Amino acid sequence: MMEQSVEKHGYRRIAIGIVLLFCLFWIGKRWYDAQHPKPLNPMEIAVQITAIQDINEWEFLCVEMEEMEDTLIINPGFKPAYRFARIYKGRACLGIDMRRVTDDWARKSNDTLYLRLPDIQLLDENIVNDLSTRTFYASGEMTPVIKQELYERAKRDMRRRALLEANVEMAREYARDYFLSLYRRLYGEKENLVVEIEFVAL
Amino acid sequence: MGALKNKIGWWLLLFMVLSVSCASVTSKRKQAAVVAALHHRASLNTVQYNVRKILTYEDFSTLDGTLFFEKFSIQIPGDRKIALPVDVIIKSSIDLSAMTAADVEVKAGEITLLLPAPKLEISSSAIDYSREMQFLSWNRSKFSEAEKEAILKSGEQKILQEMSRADVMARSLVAAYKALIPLLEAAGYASESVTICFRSDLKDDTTDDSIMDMLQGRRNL
Repeated sequence: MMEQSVEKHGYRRIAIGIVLLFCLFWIGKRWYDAQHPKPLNPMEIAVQITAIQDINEWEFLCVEMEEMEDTLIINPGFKPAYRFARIYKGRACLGIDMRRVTDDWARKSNDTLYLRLPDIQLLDENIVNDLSTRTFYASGEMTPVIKQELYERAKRDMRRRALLEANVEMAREYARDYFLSLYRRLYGEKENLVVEIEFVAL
Repeated sequence: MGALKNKIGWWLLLFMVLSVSCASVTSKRKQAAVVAALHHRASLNTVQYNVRKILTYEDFSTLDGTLFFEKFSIQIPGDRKIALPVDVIIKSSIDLSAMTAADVEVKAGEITLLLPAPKLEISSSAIDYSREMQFLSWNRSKFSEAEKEAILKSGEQKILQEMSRADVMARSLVAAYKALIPLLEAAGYASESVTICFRSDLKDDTTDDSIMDMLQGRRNL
């Protein structure tokens, strides 16, 4: 009986030792992988084009932005609070969509060329480049709902900052300068051409 | 013993009071955006491509080491996979600010324009978070946010490379021609007297011969 008890304790100790060794190996492997990260390259990259659209957009001002959005979620009960912060990058392009011109957008009278162009606008409402998003801090698991909410917030904020009156006016000036120089070049510098440009909210 | 029980009781009570909360509370604190750069551009965007791609990644865990000066790598059973659906908008763009006076030739009522080659740029992208999937073996951990971001970042360049190989340049050339003709007609040029060429840095295999005939031969598209 005594010998059986000693044998049983012996096996138990061996089993505990094996489990401890396994745990040590697992912790060591996790630490090693963290110290030596491998580059992560996606496997397949065949692209699927879902839509093709001919557009006629003239870009005159490009506003590149970074926006940090954060959120704090306090959970009921004993769960700890979660805090998330992400940094988004985006590019807002201001310009003229020439598909919106009316039939009489260009009219020449003697030495004066009259251009009636659509007003400067945000050429694309999709501003955020989510592929470049970085997570600055995450104290818990970020669910898709939280990520989507932060993304929408970043998009709204970037849109608001891109459409500041100063930016729109700057884009108008660039557009005016560009079309003036373009048509002077087309008509030849020798001709005394006057170009009048009117931006119309269509 | 009684005093100890009282002490424990008070601490428990304090703990319960602190842990009670009516509902999840979300608060936000906004940081000021940093406008990284304002770029003055004069670009003509001619074609927009809406692209959907599912970026996938799989890895196996390996045990690497050196034994008797020989390196070894033993694959440990168990893998993990992740699929990240991405919607990307890519635009074909011609940088007109790169044109010089030498690129516009006007002679006897006819005009020839030499344009820079169109370039593909990612205008925006969005990740479909609700359809993100991970498959993990029992001995593997989930993909961290940093790992997902690394996969997405390297996927961005590969998507552009793949698009450049696709036959998208030919369409960009035709669209540019269609966009510029009305501007030149407004300046008083007939479409028959307009010639639009693109710089020779275009690769030959990106331009279909039939498209070039369309651009240089027929004026009406």
